[in-house]
Amino acid sequence: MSGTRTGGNAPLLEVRDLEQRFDVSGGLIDRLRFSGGRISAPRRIVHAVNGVSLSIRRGEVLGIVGESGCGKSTLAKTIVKLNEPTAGQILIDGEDITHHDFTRMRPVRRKMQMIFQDPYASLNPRQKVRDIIMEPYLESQGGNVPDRAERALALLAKVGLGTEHLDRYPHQFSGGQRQRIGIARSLSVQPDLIIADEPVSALDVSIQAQILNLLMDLKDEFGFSYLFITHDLSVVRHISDRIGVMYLGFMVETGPTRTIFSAPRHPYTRALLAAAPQLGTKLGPAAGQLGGEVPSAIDLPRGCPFRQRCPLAFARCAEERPALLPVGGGQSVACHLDEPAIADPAA
Amino acid sequence: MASSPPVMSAAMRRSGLQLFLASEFIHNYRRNLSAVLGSLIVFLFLAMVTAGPFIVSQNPYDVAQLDLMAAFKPPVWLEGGSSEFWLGTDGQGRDVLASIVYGSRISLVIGLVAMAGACLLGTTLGLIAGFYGGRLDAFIMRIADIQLSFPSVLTALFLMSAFGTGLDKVLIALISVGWVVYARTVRGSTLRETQKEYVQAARVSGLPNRKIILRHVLPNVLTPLIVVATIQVGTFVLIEASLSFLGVGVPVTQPSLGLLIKNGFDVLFSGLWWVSIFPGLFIMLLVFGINLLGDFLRDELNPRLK
Amino acid sequence: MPRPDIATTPLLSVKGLRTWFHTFGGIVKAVDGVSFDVAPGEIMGLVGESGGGKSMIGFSIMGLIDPPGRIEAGSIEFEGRDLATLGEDEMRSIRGKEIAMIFQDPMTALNPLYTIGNQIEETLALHTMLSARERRMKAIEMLHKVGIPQPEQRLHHYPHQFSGGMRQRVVIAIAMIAQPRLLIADEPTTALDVTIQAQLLRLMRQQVVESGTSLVLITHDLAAVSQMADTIVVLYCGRIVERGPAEEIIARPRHPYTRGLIDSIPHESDVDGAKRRLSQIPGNVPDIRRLPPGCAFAPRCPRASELCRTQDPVLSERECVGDGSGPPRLHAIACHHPLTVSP
Repeated sequence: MSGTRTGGNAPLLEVRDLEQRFDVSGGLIDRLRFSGGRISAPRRIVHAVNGVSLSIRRGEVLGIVGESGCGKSTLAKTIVKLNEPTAGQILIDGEDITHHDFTRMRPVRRKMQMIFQDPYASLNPRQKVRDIIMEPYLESQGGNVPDRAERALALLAKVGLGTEHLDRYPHQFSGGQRQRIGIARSLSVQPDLIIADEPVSALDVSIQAQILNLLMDLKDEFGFSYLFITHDLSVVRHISDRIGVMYLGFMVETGPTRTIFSAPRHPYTRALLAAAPQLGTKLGPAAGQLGGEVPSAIDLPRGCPFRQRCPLAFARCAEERPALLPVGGGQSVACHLDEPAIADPAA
Repeated sequence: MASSPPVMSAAMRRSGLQLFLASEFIHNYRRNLSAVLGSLIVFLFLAMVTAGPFIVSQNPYDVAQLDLMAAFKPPVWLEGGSSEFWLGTDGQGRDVLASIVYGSRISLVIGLVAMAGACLLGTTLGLIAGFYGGRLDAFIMRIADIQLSFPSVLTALFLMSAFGTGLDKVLIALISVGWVVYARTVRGSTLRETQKEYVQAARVSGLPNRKIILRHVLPNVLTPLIVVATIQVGTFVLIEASLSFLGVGVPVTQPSLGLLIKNGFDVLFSGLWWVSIFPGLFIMLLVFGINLLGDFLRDELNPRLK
Repeated sequence: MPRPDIATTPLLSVKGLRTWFHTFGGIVKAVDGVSFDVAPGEIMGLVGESGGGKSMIGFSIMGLIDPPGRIEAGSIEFEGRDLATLGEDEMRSIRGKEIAMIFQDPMTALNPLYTIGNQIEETLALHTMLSARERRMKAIEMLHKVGIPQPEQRLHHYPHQFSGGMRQRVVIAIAMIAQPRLLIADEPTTALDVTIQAQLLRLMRQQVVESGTSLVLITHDLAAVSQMADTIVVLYCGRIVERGPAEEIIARPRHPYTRGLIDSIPHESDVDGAKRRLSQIPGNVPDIRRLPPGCAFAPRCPRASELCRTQDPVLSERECVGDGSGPPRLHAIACHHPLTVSP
């Protein structure tokens, strides 16, 4: 991300121009189309992540916010190499892991763990808690761990659970407790970076606050960094140091949390902030309300990805895709309206 | 309904068996007449094939014990029947009841062993197809489709005529028609399970695929197989009976229930009906019992019907 | 602000409603003695966390409780009839015509095998005497009203050809087309994105205000409900813990649970490291089959005393601190130790 200060130590995670595309066309027979008397077999490619760059320093929380289908979850999964990136680079501690195979990923996995969205689907229903939370650690140690039970207990204690929970199965827990188990699992290898994909959106409000507090306490204790993916603006504002706003697989704005909320520059960021329900404020008139819906990621629009819904779109937006450019104060915006005069589009 | 509770401490102290006996499964089982009936039939059959040879007076395949003078005796309640042979005798003076006890043993063993083999093969192929996808998946599933497009008796018949008869050949024939249903079920569940986040979590933990499949996917795709496996034992007993009836099944020295029917079939229309009909009734009863049990398990283990 | 157009005779009056589920693991008292009134044209928010019983209240009103569930006690008076005693046939004539319902997942509410035109017209055919041509005109008009572009063409499309937000608009169109007196919306926007959510909440409010329909909005989202509702009912473990005018509940909550819910939402003031910890409600929602004696919230409540652990608090009404204008409005709390508020 261009807004990042480069002085001091190298970022813990750096992502450069990451592209993630999926071929969803299926087999040849599924692809066959008959039109105008001709047979063709067009491919259908989902452009899930389009040239996203970001970086996270040690101890920093980067929040990625956007609506469903904006590619934020895919971005997270590509970074942990659940997907094979189509193009771009992923660097952990300066090590390029973009094309690491299974064996070379193994040591990297100790630095990077993930917390998942669904507290029900993210735990194997047939495993006991002690096995679930120790799995990443055991795997990294080749299964040879003499003090397994103590370690498991220590992990549970970190997330506010106790001895009595060790031998239970996931279905014996509530959603919030399960999420704690998932967090304990991610802590077991003492990672530097935790990628949290909507970790609280499936939880009740009161439980959500507990988990957010837990995540913040753990960060203070262990000093790791979060890449925090969420659709919830109040959550992202609370937890993040910096925020990236994604739309249709593009990063449209990044900056310090405070700046993004107090002085959003991109029309989409502004609309998103305006739409978020505020406690105790009556639903106002539709002024500033975003019309329309997110276009398909299979046929990306020409030019700016947001132009079809943008109230400020003008001719150039349909022609040319705006680049994410710094506007000062650590903030970067991908909008033609915010391009500094020096950036000559003809160049 | 409401999410599962943090378990009470009292419940934790109870043993696994006590918990199972107090479970909803057992509760529903007790209230389900056909389930109780089905499992009773199956249990009686199992008891019969294990203890039966020690109870019946005659080993029908020990020629020394046969008495040709006692050939074609009707069942005990008919005129000319003898209390020695409750269900009558066949042309060689074999006790029909004793034949059924020995024959049931062969039928059941074939059904169970073939089921186990088909389950092992089908589950392995289904896991591989579902987990790895791509060409391997396409290849395995196309074979399965081809397999399914033949009637299973016909497939077995082809295989038997190619390999010859014999107990092992029957098993091979049954396994090669029976694996498909497991492969398809397991592939479907595997596709569903691998989408779940716990499998992704295992990947992020750096588990090799082999461990992910064995530790995470396999235990979660097994439940629906219990139903398939139960009902398949019944199906296999029937297919084996058909093969033996057609003369391409088990050898005459190891007659199953199906072969008993065939043996009696020649004299069926001469009024000597008991030689065929009793083994036939026992097959029917066994398959009926298995299917009742299978239906109950299907209702209980399928969360969508709840 | 209290809405002056809300009449005082209730359209819907729920009294002492108990909806229990007799499961193997014990009786689930999903709704356990709930009473509230909905005036004509009123928007009421039913708020609570999962397991609070809010959806089951909606299902009970609609007569959609299936075994092992049963309405054990109480009455649901709607325009002079007690819905709890009506048979399935009578309920069927009320459902869709006088009371309509919107669910969280628009896909389950729409039949994938029929065009949306068919489905809108079917509702009209069931509940009106209109001719086929009139029904079609009305369907187009309704789709236009809920903001679906090119309704003439869209009428012939199938549900899967619509996006999630558009589908929910269709569901709203179907719900509103027979001009029901009461609309029950169960988490109507939970599955949707914030920008779409805002569009739909506005649409729903505009629809009910224009037609004078009452709306019961069931949701876990306190912020969304505070934007819409005139009255808020807060549920915990199948019981009402607090009920009152929306502004009052949000600005001056008196039950510790409501207070906790409101404080759990991250606020603007928390940013910048000044206050990084959210105030949280400790513990978990208890198993509804094994509720503790006394107040169900006591184990998680900072104000709980011995009294709370032994004796059920009764929902008691008192007048709002209010601004003094208009008729007095009532604020009901079920708590032995309610929070005190400064006027």
